This record gives sequence, structure tokens and C-alpha cells, in this order.
Amino acid sequence: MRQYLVKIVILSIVVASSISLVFFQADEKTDAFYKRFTTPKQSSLILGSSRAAQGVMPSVLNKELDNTAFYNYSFTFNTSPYGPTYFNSIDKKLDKTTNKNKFIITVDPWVISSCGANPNDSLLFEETESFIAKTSKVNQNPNFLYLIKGYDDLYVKILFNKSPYVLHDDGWLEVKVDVTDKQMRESLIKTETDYIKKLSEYRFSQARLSYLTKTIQYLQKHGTVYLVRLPIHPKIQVIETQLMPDFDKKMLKISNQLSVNYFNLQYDSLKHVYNDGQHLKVTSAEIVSEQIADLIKQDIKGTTAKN
Amino acid sequence: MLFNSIEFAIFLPLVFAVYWFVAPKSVFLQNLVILISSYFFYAWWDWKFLGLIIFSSSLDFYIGRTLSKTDKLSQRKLLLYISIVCNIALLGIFKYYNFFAENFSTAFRFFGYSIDPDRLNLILPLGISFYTFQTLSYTIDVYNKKIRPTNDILSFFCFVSFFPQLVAGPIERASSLLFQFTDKKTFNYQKAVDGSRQMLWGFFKKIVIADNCAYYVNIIFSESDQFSGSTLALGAILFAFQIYGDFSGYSDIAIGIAKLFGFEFKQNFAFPYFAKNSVEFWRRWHISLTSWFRDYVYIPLGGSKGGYKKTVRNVFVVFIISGFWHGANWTFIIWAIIHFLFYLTTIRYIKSRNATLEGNIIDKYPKLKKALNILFTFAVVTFAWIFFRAENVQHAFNYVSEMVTASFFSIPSFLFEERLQFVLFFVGFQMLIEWKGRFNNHALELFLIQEPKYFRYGFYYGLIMIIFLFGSQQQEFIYFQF
Repeated sequence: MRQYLVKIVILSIVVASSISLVFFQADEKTDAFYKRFTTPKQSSLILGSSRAAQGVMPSVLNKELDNTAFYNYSFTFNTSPYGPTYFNSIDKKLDKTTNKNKFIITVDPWVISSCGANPNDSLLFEETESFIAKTSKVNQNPNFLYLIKGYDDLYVKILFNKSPYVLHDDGWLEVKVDVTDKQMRESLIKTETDYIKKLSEYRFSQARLSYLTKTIQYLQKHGTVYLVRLPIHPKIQVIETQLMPDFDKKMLKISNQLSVNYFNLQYDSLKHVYNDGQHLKVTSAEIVSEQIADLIKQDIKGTTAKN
Repeated sequence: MLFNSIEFAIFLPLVFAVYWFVAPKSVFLQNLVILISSYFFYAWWDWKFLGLIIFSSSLDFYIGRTLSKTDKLSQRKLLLYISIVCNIALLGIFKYYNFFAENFSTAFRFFGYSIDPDRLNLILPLGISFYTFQTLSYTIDVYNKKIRPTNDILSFFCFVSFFPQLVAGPIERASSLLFQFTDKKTFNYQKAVDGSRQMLWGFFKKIVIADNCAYYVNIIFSESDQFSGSTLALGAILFAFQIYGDFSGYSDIAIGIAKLFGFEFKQNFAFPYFAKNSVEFWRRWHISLTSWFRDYVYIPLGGSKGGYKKTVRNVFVVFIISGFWHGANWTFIIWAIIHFLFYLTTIRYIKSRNATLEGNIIDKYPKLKKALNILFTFAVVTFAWIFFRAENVQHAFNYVSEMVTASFFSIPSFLFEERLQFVLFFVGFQMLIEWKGRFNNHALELFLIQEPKYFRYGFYYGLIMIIFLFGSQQQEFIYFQF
């Protein structure tokens, strides 16, 4: 027995050390999310789905706005729509020691919708099984918990990563792919097809809207909240209008009730360039981030005009 | 609790420690640890269904004891029928009710009658097909006086619920497993090391081969109308390796765990993809189930003693029951019929039915004719797997018809993806190691045993790192659904 246990223990130690070594190699290119769980608690957050993850650049905002350190804590529309899972994660990421922070909450019809038989049953929300739900520690470096429970690719890719994603220190997700016009058109068609399919699966969720409200109210205790609707390609806008024709009314209602600014940036959607109809290319992301910074500056000056 | 889960990685060492350090002094304590841990293992999935296992175990324990007290044939038969009816009824309710209700309804509609039977919204209890067959075999063996019934209720309950094989087999017989619970176990180093090697190989097959194949199989089968014939063929081949890696991997892990506790299970897979005909395949694939059907269905029906026609009938019955055992879906029946026809062709034309396990594998490399036979057998088995994997019969026929087109000769999708290349490389690696170990109980039993220790341990370390680095997302074992 002793001989057996000694061998098993030695082998386990060697294997555990090797696995730890691999995990220590995890970095900004590991995947589109890992690094966000390795930074310390953050004071000013950018929240939302992958549109915000790629489309709102904290570096631009921080340059334009004094005394702010925005951090992009957005993920994807099926892992970070507004609901209990994302709310808990935000709560863990938020540095609650100050109360003069700024928060950009990006919204669109998908992040307040849900699929399934009952879109208001938060126990059935699809993100309850996602890496966000599984990653209870969000400020650890390296974050073994995420790598064990949340990471969903082959671990060998941590060592030999050729991912087109680079997750910057400030949480902004850069997609380094040179997309030709033809590829962009094809991606747009694919996005359209995917969203048309989703139209029949997703419905407005009052529970999610309540969680959006709850998130805003919670963050208002720690600073100023801005609701932002990011630009997308007009063809995708049409589908979103079909899903929720009164989306802007809903947002304006929240904006009035909670006294938060709602910036709808979809008025000049055609001016921007998208990788696939919904994710802004870097050049457009910069412009949009500057626009948001300007609107915040105006608000600070007390001259904000609600869209 | 899945074998390939963090929960199990905590559970197993704990049970191992309690079994060998807290309860080594008496067989009663050892069995108590086994029973409690087995019920805990099962309850981790759903404690509510523990009642079914306890019911099934109690029923067959008491029927076995009553059988030993009477020699009256009518009474003995009655007791046997009670056991069979109760156990099959459990299966029937949980596994087949909706299937039969639906098909009766369809049949009546065909004749102009409209009936709409209530459908039961039941969850299939995990492992029910396995432990039901295990307890049934006990009662039948006691009835046939092949074994003496046990008076030790704890041993019997352990026999039915022993956690390594509770949810997906191997289906053990009382004659080999039950009586292992009557002796106090002492730790056997060689057995534990061999068990650990077998577990390691099982994990490799499950996590690296099966789960990675599943990634592509799920895509190809779910959108089969989008792919070329060659991609569909690739999907079928990958499924062949997925189900083999999944199920034989589970068996290897189960057998390996049993060895850690001093128990011996019978071999459940004997390298079936090296079979050169159908008869041989079925002697190598899911041996515990095949031999169960042979002993409790085929032979009682007369086996091959009544001439060719009766043999054909008996073989047909066994295949159909086997199809049904796998699930309440016509796809399994068609899968079984394909195998029946292949089996029939084999026994019709094969010169020597004994040319089975050893015939083709003595040579270091198979001769061309034998290699072609192996390939042909693999091709037919893979074709049948399409029906096994498809969602329904229509899907299966569509899959086949889309596969057998000119695009069959095109380059399959995904072939240039790194991940698929890894998968194909590791499938080749697996087959190579298994070919080398084909005379043994499992692939790593004697693999590198003559080599220096550092080389052998380097190989084990490398294998563990391959499992870690190339392991895919955690997936359930396919045979859990049966």
C-alpha cells in the first residue's frame, strides 16, 4: 500500500506542477474572457455584450475624461445579458470603496430577452450554466477557477495560441482579423440569418428588464450611470425592431424613472464599419468611444441632451 | 457523478482512504463503505431514484432466498416470473411506455381509429437497464440452480449497486461478482497498479478520443443536410471511434476502479475494431451484455441446436431485444437488423465459426486478406452506427442518401482544422497501442512492462498530460442514456 501511495503522490505532484505551469502561461490571447477575471476590482465599468466588449474602448474614454479609469467588463449576449448571473459577477468585480465612478451600461433588445418556455424564469436563463456563473472568483491572477471550470477550449491552446483575439489590460477585446469587403458582406448575411433564427426563439423578458433596473440602481450608489445603445448595421436594426419595437421607449422610461442618461448612437449606424454587421471595427470603435466620451463630458458640464 | 469530473476526483480518493484505512478489519465494514458510497454516488445524480435500486435489490434478494426453500416447480416458476415481470415492468414504465403508446396510437390511426394515450413525462433512471439485468441474472441463475442464493443482504445490495459499474456496466454476474463481496479484501499492489493503468487508458479514450470526436460528430449529425458525402462519412467514422472510446473507456475506468478495491470484473471490450467478421465483433463488443443475451435468451430459446432456421430465428430475437435494450427508438431496431443481417451472412458463409478471437491477431501485422476483412467489418459496423446515432429513422435515411452521392469523393470539411488533425492522430495512436496490447485484458496491461521504469513512468506522465492538454469539454457518457 505504502509503495502504491508514494508512487501515486509523486506522480500527482509532478502532474499538478505541470498543469500549474501550463495555467501560468494563460494570458491576453488565451481566449476572449480570461484576462478580465485576473485583474483587481475596478471602479468604473463598461457593461454589456460582445458589442460593447469590442466596441467601447476604455483607453479612448480614459484619455478624454479626467480622473476616470474605465474597465470593460462586457462578455457576450448569451453569457452576460442582464440577470442574476451577470449582476453577481459585476458585484464581485466592482470596487466599492469610492462613489464617484462612472458606468456605461450598453443595451439592446437581446440583452433583455430570453429564450425558452418561460422567459421570466431566471432559473432557466441560459447563462446560469455559463463560465460567468461558474467563475465565482473574478479578481485572481492566475485564475485557476476560470481555467478549470469556465475555459472551454483545449488547454494545449494556452501554450500555442493563434487566437485572433487580444484582450487588453483595460478589458477591451481587440479582434485582429483583416476582413475583406467580401468577407464582411458574407459575415453580415450570416449574422442576419442567425438573428432571424433567434427571432423565433427569443422573447422580451420582464425579469431581465427588472435586473437591468436593479443593476442601474445598484451602480448609482457608486457613481453615475449612462445607458448606451451602440450602433449596428441597419439590416440588423430591422431584425431588432421586429424583436422589440418599443425598445427605445422602454429605455427612455427607465432613463426618466432612474434619472440616467440614455445615449442612442444608432442614428448614424451607416457611418460605421462592422466586422459582421454588429461588432464595430477598431476604427469605428474609436469613433464611437470618442462620441460616448463627448456625451459624458457634456453631461458633466450639465448640458446633456437626452437622445 | 461522472468519472471525468472534479467531484469524482475527490470522491474516489476519499472512498479509497476510508475503505483501506478505516474499514479494513472486517468484510462487513468494507461492504458497508461500498454500499454507502455507491448510494451516495448514485444519489449525486438524483436521490429519488435510489428507491428503484433498493426495490429491485430487495425483490431479487428475497425471491432468491425463497427459491432456495422450495423445490416445487410451480412455485419456483411463479417466483421467477414475479422477478422477471417486476424488473421488466420497471424498464417498461420508465423506458418504453411512451414509445409503445406512440406506436399503438399510430397503428390505430392507420386503421381509422383515433386514440390518444396519455404520455408519461418520466426521466429515465440512470443505469436502470444495467442493474435490472444484473439482478435478473441472479434470480435466473438461482432458479436454474447454477448458483446458491446468498443470505447476506449487504453483499447482495453491494453486488447490485457497486458504484464503478452501477450506471453503465459491465453487467456482472452473481457467479463472479456477488461472491467477491463475501471475502475480506486485502490490498494488492499489483492489482492496484494494473487498475490504475487501466483507468488511465480509459480516461484517455473517453476524454481525448470520444469527447473530441463528439465535437465534430455533433456538428455533422445535427446539420447533416449541409455537408458533403465525404464529410458525412467522416462523421460516421468519428462516431464509431466516439462510441468505442466512450463506452470501452467507461468500462476500463470501471474495471480499473474495481481493482483498486480488490475486485475483478470481466473484460467488457476485447478490441472489437480488430474483428474480421460479425461473429467476432459481437464476441468483442460489450461482452457482458452479449453474453447475457446468449445465456438468458439465445440458449433458452434453443441456441443453434434446432437447425439453421431455428438458429436464425433465435439470433434474430436476440438482436431485436438488443436493439430495444439500447433505447425506445426505431433507429435502434434498424441498427440491430443491420447487425443481424451481417451476422447471418457471416454464419452462413464462414467456414469455421471458431475462427474468432485468435484467428486474425496472432501475426504481428495482419495479412492482406485479414486486413481487408477487418476493414470491411469496420465499414459495416460504422454504417450501422449511423442509425444508432441518428435522431430518428428519417434522419438516418437522409444521412445515408446524402452520403452516397458524388460528393462522397470530395475532400471532407474540417480536414484542415488543427483540432481534427489532433483527433485523427490520437485515434491512430490509440489503435496502435491497442494493436500491440490486443492479447491482453486491456491495452496497457503489459505495455512497456519490460522497459526501464523511468521510460514507463514517462509514458504514463505523457499520457496524463495528453489527457489534460487535449481533453475536450466534459461530456456525459453515451451509455448513461441506456
